[in-house]
Amino acid sequence: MDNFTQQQELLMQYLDGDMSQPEREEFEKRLSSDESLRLQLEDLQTAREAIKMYGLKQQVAAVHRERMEEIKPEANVRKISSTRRIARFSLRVAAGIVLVAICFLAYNFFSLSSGKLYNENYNSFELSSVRGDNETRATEIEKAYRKKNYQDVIALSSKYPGASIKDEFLEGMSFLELDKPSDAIDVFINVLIRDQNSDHPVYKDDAEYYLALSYLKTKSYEKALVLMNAIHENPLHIYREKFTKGFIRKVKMLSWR
Amino acid sequence: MTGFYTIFTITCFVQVTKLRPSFTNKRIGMAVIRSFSDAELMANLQSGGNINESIRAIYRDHFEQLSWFVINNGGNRHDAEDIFQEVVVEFIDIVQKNKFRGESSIKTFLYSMNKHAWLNELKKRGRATQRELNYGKNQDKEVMDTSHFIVHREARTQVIAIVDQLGEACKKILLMFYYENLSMKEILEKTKYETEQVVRNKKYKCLKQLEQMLNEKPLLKESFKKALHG
Repeated sequence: MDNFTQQQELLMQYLDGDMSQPEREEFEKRLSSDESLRLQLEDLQTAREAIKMYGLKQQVAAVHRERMEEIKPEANVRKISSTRRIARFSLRVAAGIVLVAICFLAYNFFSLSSGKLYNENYNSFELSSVRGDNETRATEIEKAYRKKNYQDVIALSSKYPGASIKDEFLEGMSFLELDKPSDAIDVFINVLIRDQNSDHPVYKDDAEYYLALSYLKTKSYEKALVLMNAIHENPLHIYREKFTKGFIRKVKMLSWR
Repeated sequence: MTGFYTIFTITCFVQVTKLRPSFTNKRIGMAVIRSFSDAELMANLQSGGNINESIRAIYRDHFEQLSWFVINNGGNRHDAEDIFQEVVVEFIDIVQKNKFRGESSIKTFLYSMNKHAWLNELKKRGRATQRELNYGKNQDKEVMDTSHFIVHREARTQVIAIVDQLGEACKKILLMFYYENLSMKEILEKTKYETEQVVRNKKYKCLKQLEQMLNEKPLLKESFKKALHG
């Protein structure tokens, strides 16, 4: 065995603790006087420590993998205090309520239609009847309207273009009854103009109300809203109660679509 | 349109029912991990007895809490896992070298190490904000200062990577001898080598090979030596 090999052998024995006490003391004396030998030993010790560090890392990594495997499925169910659990539960309930509310509103929004709102609000116009009066003084148009002969009302109206405001209003109502809101709009506008210029305007409220409904039916929401708001804000208007804030809000929603 | 409303209503109903509390996700029957006092844990880590059980206990007791520090300071779950793993390795090494003398609880010590390791990592990535750096400085005055243990974390990481480059046979024999403290006779029984002398020679060659690999990176070697003696 040459000197180098022998020296390496001794270094390994010292590093691994394989020396007897006298051998160790003898070798430590050499180390204290031989800088090169001491540096060689330090390098071997560094390599040994690197192995130990690597081994520890491997061992921790094995437990790490095992723990992460167990934790991952419940990553979102960490140990939490009862206060936080209650808070989370409350948040979930609140989120549920909000979602239900959103769904409800969205359902209402998407299920709204001009026809649905129209039918919700529309009532046929009933002529007031004074006993003994209607048969004698009633016009042909009124008689036809009372009998719900709406086609006849329209035919008679075109036959007698100089009909009264009342007859013209009934013509408009007949168009509405026959689901012709566009025709009804022209008639009601004319009624309003005539009524405004008359000495005793009596059909203003009726004509405005049914004109608003006619606009709604034809999906002219902007025009309908102007009239509805005016009616709602007029405390003396006889149809004020028909156009509530809720109803007007629904029409606004329709106008957004 | 009716069909649309029906589908819409069903979708809403399904979404609402999905919001029910997910308590049922909890796993039942997870392995029971023993609890240790700080003193028992220290004794286990120093002696190497029950070491896996001790590491499991550390993970169970501290991982979630410490990982939130990383996640709340610019990291993600993966960063938190890596940092905690590093901290556990370093902590065990410190305990085994008797550098932890119980000046604080293990929890406080780990918290401090975790914080410094993450701030160090943020600095390395060039992402540490002034707020985070100030936070690190201020906290040192209040809790255990473990920043000096973290100084050489990069060197340790690189040295571990170098060891990993050794052949599988070398890693196995060196780990059995220097980490598991098995005798030559025990190693002989666990391997296919003919004699103890063959095992001895193989171990010598492998250690010299690692020594050579480390010598090729003198700066890293010096940094790692400082970490060992720091």
